[in-house]
Amino acid sequence: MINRLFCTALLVVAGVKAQGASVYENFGLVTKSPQIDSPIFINRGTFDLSDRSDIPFETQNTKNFQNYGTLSANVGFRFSYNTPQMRLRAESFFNNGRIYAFDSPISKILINARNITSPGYMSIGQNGLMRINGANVNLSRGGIRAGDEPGSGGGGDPLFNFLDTDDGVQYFNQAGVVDLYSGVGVNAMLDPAAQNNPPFNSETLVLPRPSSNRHQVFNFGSRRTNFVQVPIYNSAFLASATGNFSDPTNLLIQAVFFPEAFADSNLTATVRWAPESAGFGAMIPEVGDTRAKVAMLELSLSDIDSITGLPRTNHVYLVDTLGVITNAFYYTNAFNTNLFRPSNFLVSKSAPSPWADGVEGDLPFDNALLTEGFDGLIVTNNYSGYSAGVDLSTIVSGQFGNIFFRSGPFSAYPDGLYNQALTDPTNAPGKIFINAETLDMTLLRLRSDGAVTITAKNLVGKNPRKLDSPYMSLDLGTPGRPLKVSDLVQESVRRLSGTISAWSTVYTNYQSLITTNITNIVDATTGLPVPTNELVTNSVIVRIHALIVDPNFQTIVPVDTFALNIKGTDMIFEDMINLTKSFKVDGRSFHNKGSINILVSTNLNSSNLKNITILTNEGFISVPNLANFGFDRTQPYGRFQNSGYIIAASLMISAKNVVNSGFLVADDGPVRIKGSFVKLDDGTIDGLRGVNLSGGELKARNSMMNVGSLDIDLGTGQITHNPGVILLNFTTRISDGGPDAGNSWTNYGGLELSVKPTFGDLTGTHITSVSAPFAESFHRWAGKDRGAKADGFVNNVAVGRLTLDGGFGSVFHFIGKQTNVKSAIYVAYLEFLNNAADVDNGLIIDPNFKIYFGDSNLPPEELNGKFGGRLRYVPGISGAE
Amino acid sequence: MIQFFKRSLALFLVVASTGTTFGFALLGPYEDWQTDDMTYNVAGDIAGPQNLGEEYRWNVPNLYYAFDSSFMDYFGARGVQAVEQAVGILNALPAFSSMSSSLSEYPLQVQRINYRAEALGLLDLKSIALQLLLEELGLAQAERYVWALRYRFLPDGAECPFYRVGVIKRNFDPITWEPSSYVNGTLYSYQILTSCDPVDRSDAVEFNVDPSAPAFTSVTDVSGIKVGGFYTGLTRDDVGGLRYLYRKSNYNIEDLGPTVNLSSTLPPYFPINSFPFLTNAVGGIPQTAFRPGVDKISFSRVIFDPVLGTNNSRFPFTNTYNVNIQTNGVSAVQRVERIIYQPDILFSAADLVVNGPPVAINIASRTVPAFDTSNHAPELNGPGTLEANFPAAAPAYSGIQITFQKVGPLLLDTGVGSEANATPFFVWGSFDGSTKEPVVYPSGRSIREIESIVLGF
Repeated sequence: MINRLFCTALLVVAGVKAQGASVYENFGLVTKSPQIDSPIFINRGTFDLSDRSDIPFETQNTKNFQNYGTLSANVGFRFSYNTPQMRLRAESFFNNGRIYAFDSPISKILINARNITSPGYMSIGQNGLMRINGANVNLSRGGIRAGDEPGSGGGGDPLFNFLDTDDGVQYFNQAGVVDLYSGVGVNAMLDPAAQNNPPFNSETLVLPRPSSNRHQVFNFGSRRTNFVQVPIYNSAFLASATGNFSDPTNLLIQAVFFPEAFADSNLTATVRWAPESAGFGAMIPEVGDTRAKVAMLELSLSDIDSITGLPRTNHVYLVDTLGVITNAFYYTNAFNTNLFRPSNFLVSKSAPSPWADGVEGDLPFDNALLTEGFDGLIVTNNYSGYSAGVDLSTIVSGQFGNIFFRSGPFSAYPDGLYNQALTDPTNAPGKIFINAETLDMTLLRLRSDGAVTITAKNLVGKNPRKLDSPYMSLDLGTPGRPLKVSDLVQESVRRLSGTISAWSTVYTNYQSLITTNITNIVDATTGLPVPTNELVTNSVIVRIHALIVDPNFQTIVPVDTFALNIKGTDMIFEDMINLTKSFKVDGRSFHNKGSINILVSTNLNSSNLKNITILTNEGFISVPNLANFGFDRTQPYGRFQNSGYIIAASLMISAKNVVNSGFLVADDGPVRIKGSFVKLDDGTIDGLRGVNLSGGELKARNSMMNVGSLDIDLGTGQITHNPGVILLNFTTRISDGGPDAGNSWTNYGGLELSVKPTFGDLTGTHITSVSAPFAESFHRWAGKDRGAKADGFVNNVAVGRLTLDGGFGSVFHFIGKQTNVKSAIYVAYLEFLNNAADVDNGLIIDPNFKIYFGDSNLPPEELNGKFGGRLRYVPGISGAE
Repeated sequence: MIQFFKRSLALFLVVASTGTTFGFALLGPYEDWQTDDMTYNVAGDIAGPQNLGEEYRWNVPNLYYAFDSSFMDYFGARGVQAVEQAVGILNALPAFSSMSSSLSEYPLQVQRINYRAEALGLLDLKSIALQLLLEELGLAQAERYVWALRYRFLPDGAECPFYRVGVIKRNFDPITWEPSSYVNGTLYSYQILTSCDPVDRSDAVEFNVDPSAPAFTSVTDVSGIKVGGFYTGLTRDDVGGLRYLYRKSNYNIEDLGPTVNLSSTLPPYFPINSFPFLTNAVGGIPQTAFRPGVDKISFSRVIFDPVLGTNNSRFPFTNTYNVNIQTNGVSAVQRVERIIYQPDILFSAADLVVNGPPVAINIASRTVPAFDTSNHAPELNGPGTLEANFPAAAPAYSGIQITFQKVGPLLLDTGVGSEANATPFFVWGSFDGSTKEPVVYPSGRSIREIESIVLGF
């Protein structure tokens, strides 16, 4: 029970200069919040306000703020024109010093001024909020941080995170740490008396791959018990050991097993030991073994700080007191009584105070230490299992009174969270909002553990040095000018995020010690005692404490760009982003050279690409649903040029000029392209459910099309057929430049020429039609029937090579476009494969349609005249293979 | 649990915390299921949260308040001035029908800090008075009732704390009137907390989803006010709650009240078809009718001494005003007279320390308005009216009494047993954002005296 007691502040403000005057100016040290009612605030000294809680420090009636010194405060500062009635926008804010807001439990720097200039440094904690709101905001060469200062650790001594309540001792985790599972029991079960509770085989406590038994824990995600074993992965481990052998008949051995190395070589693990007297507070309510030490493990990730450019280290700590205490039990999470943690464990992001004086293991470890010389290795043991998440993304943050928390996981909701806002990154702590009419971020250095949202109608200056955040939202404009987005968003950032699981056990084993005992035997003759030697066996008690720590962390976190909205004349995008919420580009042209990966299930359409007339893609664009480039607009794009890779469920392009030399992929729907001029040059079009090309003129060279699919699994006998039709509908011209065009088009559902254009042929194009077993593949072709002569192969969309590849029982059905008009297809080389080679059964040619071919893989003469003369051989056709 | 403290703070301690939302809550008589084990009607509460459409409100346009001698003795003229500043905030509200639909003219945060008062542990008299007045006008604590429990039970074989609960919202959007998770723009979620010993009780404890968002900002929620903090006015959602209650378009079936009678003078205007009301109803006036909100409530100070009671020569007096009614789709105007025998609200001061166990050190107490529940459907809990509930010739004051703690400087002994180690409890004060010295109560205690006690110089 948290008692938010009324705490009366005891200290009064320190005297400062010019209080209540027209200018408040500080040259000294201010340690207590002063009451300031002045239009001008100038700090040339130091504010160090540790007396703040809950609400940031602010002044009244101040219109102009200047800081040349250091402003630091718990909670932080609000800079605005704070009148007795309302908070309004101040005139100016200038910072060429340093401003710190410390989490207490949250931190804030809130600036609202018409003109904001900060070449200095501003910092909030990992639970904090920085909001910079102004008309003219110049942050060039400045530094902004939301998160721990390098080396600070953040969060203070975690051993203070216990509360003595009416319901007993409770704990609260540091920000970013969440409980995942807990368990305290005997052998393998939470209930010591449970049936089938096997004792522990301690011979698994060996290097390089130690292992716990499968032990029972309560999983907070599933809300039920299950069995776990650590480590999860079979990596090589090291061990750190200590012991006490002062009493040769009662020994103590303690060992910590931890990974030898990690995938990221910058991540390391270190073990230290500390005496129980080092100050572990509630973690040692009662000392059971004064000889034992507390095990502590530190994970360190070395990194380069984005702001200082200097090395920095992120840490995760685990403390285990099981070796010292009598028995482990549960402490309840103060903010969620559904969560509990074994009393012997603690996971934190900052160092527990005994860490500094901790020492390395003083006992060399080899596998014999815990497994040899004992009377047996099957032992009854007390165990404690615990797992915690550190800086996981799918967690809920919140604040109870003065204490900040994160909670989770929430897998109890099988279909996701009831309220998605609970995990929205804009609600997560450690975030920065910058909102400006005009914004200059030249060489700005920004690092945030939470979301960064930047909104500027007019972005000026040069690029920032680095925007280092795992969550980004950009809404930027350059009115009347080009806009280049380059190095604004990182593809990934370095952060320490993951889980740390641990299993700790205590048990007693025995060794037999054979010693020589000197006893006195009375001589029967003399009656005097006679010393003699006797071999005796003594039992040595060995108390063993073993801890296996299993950290599973990632050190590279993909950046989630939850919004990208840019507005300018001609826009170039060069970054690589993963978009999860909104995407909008507004301007004359958009040139993508980067990677735009839209992760949220949504369409891309004209509302995303407003007013764009020229769209060029040299990079990567991925859309989970429909990507509609122009079909939903009254005016098509002026030019759509793709030399990169565009993938969507379905893809629609409407432009006056369409040029594709890259990849256009619809992996769950059709590709539709409409243009006055469509040029396919060296590119590839994949449409799972068809490709529809239409417009005025089509030119294609070295292009590929894969339309539909057919997968036959001979092992299972499963056939997956996605019939895709290639449809051509051009009124003026379809051409490929001749027999060396190199086009290769494959369909799995049919072929259609809707209208014969005035000019052009596809004599350099190889069309392959694949028919699935028992499928009927329709081929509708609007070529003119000019008879069996060479003239039919000119300006009649004649095809260089047509391969009919039939599955068992399939048929290719050729149809004219209109029942009362004779149509034909002229093919230089007609190829029949598989079932289609059985021409009589694998082919249907309607009465109003004819196929003329110049050559074939089957004897042309035998084919000639089949189907009532509707399959005709035209010898001497050039281009026929 | 945390929420138990928060909720019981209404009359207990003012605790350092934050708060706000996009919503308001309505106050009324407890429903049968609003029980202590689900954290209703706990210490410090005077009424329960109501569902939309089951609100309770005043249907008189003028309320009268007074200060008794205990208040005057302890707080003096500066205390009166402080309370009247709170009253002035309410009186300065324009008619609710004239407000913008979005209420954007009202801020989302109104608390400021006077750092000197904060350091001295001063609690702002005006701000507490403003919160208590909002409650007497029919608003419950918005943030506290964003989430509330509707039921709880123990599954077969289960023991405390493994209850199953149903969670409801009793906070409403001031624009759409839909149940809302927001107050003044801050989103709240909840965590179910249950204590078993010594009190078996569960609660849906609110927390702000964005930890950096300002929390508990509504003036209705007393846990939002901080030591050294003061309200500059009402937040948007406070005003939104009042507007919901008192807007002209909010017609409820209501009585006029026991001390309201037909005026002997005709109204300045009224439709012809309103005459039948004057002649056909009982007593010449329909007591029960569809009545709109009064659109604006004004507070007026009167001189009153409860010792003298109605023997005070100033009482009774009559307030004459027009009321609108509607019946069978026809609107009409009635001119009525309200006889004021006593002030509706009386501010006083008393020693509110309750000897334990457990010891309770209340900062204020207040009586609940009378809930007229006679005109709503039996299956509902409202709507109804608020009344001061005093008869025509009450022998003693029987209206609403708001009493402030006057125990004076109170040192909480920390177990050491000496003044040097004691923790000062709160002290009443009045202050603003200027550099003027805070006023410290009881009247006569100077700021220097407090400083010398607290700071030792």
